Amino acid sequence: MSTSDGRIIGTTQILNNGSDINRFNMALLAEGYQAGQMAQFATDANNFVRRLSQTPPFHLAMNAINVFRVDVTSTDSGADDPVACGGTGRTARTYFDATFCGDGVNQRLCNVNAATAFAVANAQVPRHRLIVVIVNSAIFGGAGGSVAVYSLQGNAVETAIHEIGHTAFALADEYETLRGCASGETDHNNDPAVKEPSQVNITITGTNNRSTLKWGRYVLPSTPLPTTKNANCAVCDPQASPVATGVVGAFEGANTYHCKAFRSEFDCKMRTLGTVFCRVCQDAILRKLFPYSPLTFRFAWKGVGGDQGLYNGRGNDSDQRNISGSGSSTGPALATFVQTFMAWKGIFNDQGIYYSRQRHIDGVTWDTQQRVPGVGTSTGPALAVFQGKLYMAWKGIAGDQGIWFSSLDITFSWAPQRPVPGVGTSTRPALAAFQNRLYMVWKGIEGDQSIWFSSYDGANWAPQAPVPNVGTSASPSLAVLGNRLYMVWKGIEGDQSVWFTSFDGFTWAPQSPVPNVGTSTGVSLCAGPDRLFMVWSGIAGDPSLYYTAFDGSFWGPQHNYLDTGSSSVPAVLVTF
Amino acid sequence: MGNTPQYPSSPTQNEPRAIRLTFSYVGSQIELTDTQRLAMFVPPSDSLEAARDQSGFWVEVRDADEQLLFRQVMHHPIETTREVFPADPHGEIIRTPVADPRGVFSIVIPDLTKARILALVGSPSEADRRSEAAREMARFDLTRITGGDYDK
Repeated sequence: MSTSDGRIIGTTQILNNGSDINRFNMALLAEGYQAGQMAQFATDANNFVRRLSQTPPFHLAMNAINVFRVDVTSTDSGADDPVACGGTGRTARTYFDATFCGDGVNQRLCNVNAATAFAVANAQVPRHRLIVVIVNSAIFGGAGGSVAVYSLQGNAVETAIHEIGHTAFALADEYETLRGCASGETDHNNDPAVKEPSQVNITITGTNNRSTLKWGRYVLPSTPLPTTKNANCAVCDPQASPVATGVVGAFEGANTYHCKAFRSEFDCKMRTLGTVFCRVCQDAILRKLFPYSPLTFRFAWKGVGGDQGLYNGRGNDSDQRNISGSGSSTGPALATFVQTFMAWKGIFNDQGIYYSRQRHIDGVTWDTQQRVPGVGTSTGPALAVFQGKLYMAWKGIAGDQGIWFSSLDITFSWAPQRPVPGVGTSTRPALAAFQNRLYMVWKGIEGDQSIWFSSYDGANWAPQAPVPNVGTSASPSLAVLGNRLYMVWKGIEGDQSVWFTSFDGFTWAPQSPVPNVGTSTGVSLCAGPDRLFMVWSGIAGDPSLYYTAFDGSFWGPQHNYLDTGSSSVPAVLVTF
Repeated sequence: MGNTPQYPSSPTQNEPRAIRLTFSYVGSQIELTDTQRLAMFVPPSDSLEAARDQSGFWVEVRDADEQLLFRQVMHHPIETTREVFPADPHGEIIRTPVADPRGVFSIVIPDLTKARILALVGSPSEADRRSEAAREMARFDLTRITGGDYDK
């Protein structure tokens, strides 16, 4: 049972986000697959990628990752299954020598020869950052360490994702026992708590105070600290969480100890396989992954309530910066036209439309704002690049529900405004270039919550038509993914849920809800190379900004853009 | 999905340069077993200031004067316990002792002109001493790293 029990067939890239020099490269190695089972391994490897991409926060950073499938055959399928752990006693001649019962006690511990795994990965995927071995067995098993291992039974893949938390992102275990809470263990009552852990997701200090707590920026002032204390350190803390799922605080019991070590949320994938990574772990993962990503996604928004300041930040950094000298009562629109380009309505009763460019190398500094001559809006503009020009469309000033448009050429001269004939809206339209036409969607005029669309060929607008069976009280948004035009929108009056549909050039698909999100203002959409990014402010009473991604079939869970907020629709721009 | 990747023979002037170092360990004894020079991006250093008075494990790249140039926090690579996962995804994860700790791990560091020393800094390997202050467990002279040409 060794490398003589199989051979390396070759390596295939199954997720390609550009040069492997700059990406976070994963090597997936086949173990216990016979030569005739390589197609099955290909399927299993694709399933792993899909599962990972649907595990938050990876859905926001998959563009940072390349995945390589290394086809390795074995003489036999499966893995050793020793009798000592209740197994069948079967031995399998496999390349990486996988065996259940890796400690002689627990069948579920499935080990491989890590030295062989490294030798193969170093040769086949020299720029690997992570090695995952997929064991072709229906017995549940997995293992961690420097190589993540999982079998094909049920949720065993979650063991690999937990181990990735350790191996690739230096996350600590958040569970509060070594041998099990019912084991009667007495040597894991109190963490020795000698020195603060270097891992970001556990702590032994500062748990009484947000200002000293390692992850204090995530803790709401209303959350008690510590959030839980274990009343009896001889056992695991039996109490249920006193706060809602996802609330960040300081919960006693972590790092395999009942007491004196704290975790940031009641539960986390670093504590329980069947849950999501906690917010602190999610951001640690994103901080590590984003530097590998070719994508930059920027947000821009007006402040909360009476704050009409304009802010922008890079989603990759979760920061916000005020754009000095500019303001808006409704929020901006973003596009890439030579540089990053932003347009917005002025503050209060100023219905002028302004624009600026962000062309400084620092990616932060914006040009002094310019006013678009001779135009006005009461709601704000929309932007899209079409036929080499930047097009802008907007509802007219107060009392004018007509929709107007103009374009900016490469010399940065605005064309005279023109009306889109025969249409009207009470909110802000949306634009996107699709199939060599400029598409526009908009909510109807006052009292009409239906959504309408038209398209422009560079000379004429097609007659308006309704998007069937949808409605909104706000502004819809558009972006193109693959060969479809996607639209997202807030529901009608009283409905704060978010809906989406897509258009193939002829027919709109039936609307579907974006799960588990809500907004009182509306949503914005922008396309990356293989997924859409959406940003919005929360439901009534929650001005926080949230974002997520959609890969064409799956909407990932929302991610709060920390320490920001808006009382209007934020804008999102993805560049790559 | 996908295509067979092609590797460049050497990094261009603007491509990042890195070194992969592969180690094996028996108990707490760590041995360097392989090096590869690679055109490969390495993320920015973790905080250099935080390197004092913590538990855990990290790698340090230092110059000839022992000044810290790069630091990367890692999961402690020496496994004295191993995780056993439940089939029920909401079940309990436990750890089981490793009778004879031995294994393999690798790190990737930036190939810095001023780099002279690679130090592996970690809390003691014993499971009940993992919260003690990290100390230098092993050091390697980077000037003696061969590793051949880039992407050999």
